[in-house]
Amino acid sequence: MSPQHSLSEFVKAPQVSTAALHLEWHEVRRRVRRHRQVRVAGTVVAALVVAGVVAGLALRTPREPFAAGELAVAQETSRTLGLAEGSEVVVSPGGSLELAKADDTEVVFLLQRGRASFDVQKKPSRRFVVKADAVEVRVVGTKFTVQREGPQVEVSVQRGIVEVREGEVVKRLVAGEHWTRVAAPEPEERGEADEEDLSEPPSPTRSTPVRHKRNLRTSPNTAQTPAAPAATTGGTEPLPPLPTTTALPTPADHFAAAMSARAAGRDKEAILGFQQVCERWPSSAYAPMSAFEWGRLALDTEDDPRQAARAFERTLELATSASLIEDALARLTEAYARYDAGSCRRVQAEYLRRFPAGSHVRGVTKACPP
Amino acid sequence: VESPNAETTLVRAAIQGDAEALEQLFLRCAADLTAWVSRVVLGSADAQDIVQDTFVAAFTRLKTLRQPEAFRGWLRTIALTQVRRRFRKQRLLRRLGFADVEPVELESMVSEDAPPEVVTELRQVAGLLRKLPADEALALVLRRVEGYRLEEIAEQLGLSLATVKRRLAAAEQRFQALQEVQ
Repeated sequence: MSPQHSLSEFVKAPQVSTAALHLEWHEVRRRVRRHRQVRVAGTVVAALVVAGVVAGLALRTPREPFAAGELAVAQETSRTLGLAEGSEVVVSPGGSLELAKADDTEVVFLLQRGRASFDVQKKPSRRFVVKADAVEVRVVGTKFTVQREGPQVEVSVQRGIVEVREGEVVKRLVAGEHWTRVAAPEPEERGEADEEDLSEPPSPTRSTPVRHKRNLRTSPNTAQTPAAPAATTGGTEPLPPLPTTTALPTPADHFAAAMSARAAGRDKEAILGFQQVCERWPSSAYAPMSAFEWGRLALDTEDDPRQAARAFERTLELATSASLIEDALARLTEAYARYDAGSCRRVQAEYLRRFPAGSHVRGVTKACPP
Repeated sequence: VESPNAETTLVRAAIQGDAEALEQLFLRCAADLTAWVSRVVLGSADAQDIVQDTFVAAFTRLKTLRQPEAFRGWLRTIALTQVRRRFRKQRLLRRLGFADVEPVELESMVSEDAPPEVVTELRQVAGLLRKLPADEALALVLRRVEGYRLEEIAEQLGLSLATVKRRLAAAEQRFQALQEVQ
């Protein structure tokens, strides 16, 4: 770009320290990795969804038309039947289902035996009824299953709401609920039956006209909710008091404080802060940068090459980032050059071996005294 | 002084998936980009976030870069997209009443030897940046602060020359009006 007239020459660039750049790099690297992981996970999920849909379509049983007056008997495999109005029925093996009526106002099935699942098209203007023995299930728009083995009838609701009627008794079942009527009640269960059960009229098909209390099965989510601990549910044991803790300083706090101290010219305080970070939290992301900043201060402002060398050696112990290792080796060469020519040449050789095309090659090559 | 060839080599290595090359590229380019973005948004507060967003966006679609030698220009184009997005978001939040126009702290950014008229102009541009539509604001700052030619602005913003002229004219009109008021 070639500016014609520019105010930019009067705008100062903010100073970005090496340590701040390294911290920034950590954050950028973390976000790039996360982005890739999310992308990979999204691709896998999309592939699974596509595979599932394809498999579902491939395995889907062909839908047979089902008209009023017809009887569908499933022998060894289930049968999928479709009504002209859009609802779908799956009759399980061994099941027998009759479509007694199907017009704009009412659809009536008679389940003679076995199991049938219904996926009902929502249509408020018509009644949708499944009769199984004396039990009648009414729905508006939902998905549910009715099973009949002789006088025993079970109703399970997968979606929406259904009404189960038996004589004058009406029960509403919502998604996830299950209702069972069995033919042969245990004697003691009569005593447990509620008034409603006792008052209901006998069914002509049952030798013992007693309906069991319905077996309501809660949805899996509710069922799996773990029991709350006694202390939180009014139990006798009170919860132990929370420990009184004061906010612990983090390496980030120490690092920021040390950077502030350095910016304010309080170099010794800054050095102490950086030392604390790399000694107290050696595995934190701030430790290698702290050791490096400590070395820079010791060398550049305190004029203490021995302390600086210790700091840069510490940086090399802690650092995993190649660029920080490169910088630390270069500065370590510089520190040793001031008091230990042998160590200087050793570190110089190490730098040139590891970073032959590094950005400090020229300075490192000239650093050591002859 | 960095060698352009060395940087292109790094970009090629990074495209091939070399993690160290990515880090080297960031460390080589981040300070310059931060300085440039700070001038474009006339404030350093947002610059760091924008630079970080820019590198994340760049490194996650590095394979789409056709010319490795144009890496820095490509970074600036992505950075401008991030700046534009930020300007739009801030403007929307202000319109919805969720944010106020933040005062611009120019003192720390203007060099001590800047003539008073330059300081005044910078302050006016910075004030307008927060009020103009994003593309007008960017066209204005690239022209007034960075001194780009119209063709360069069009290229950087991915707009036609005619559109840049139109937006710049609208921005300049408001800028002149502001100068007359003051």
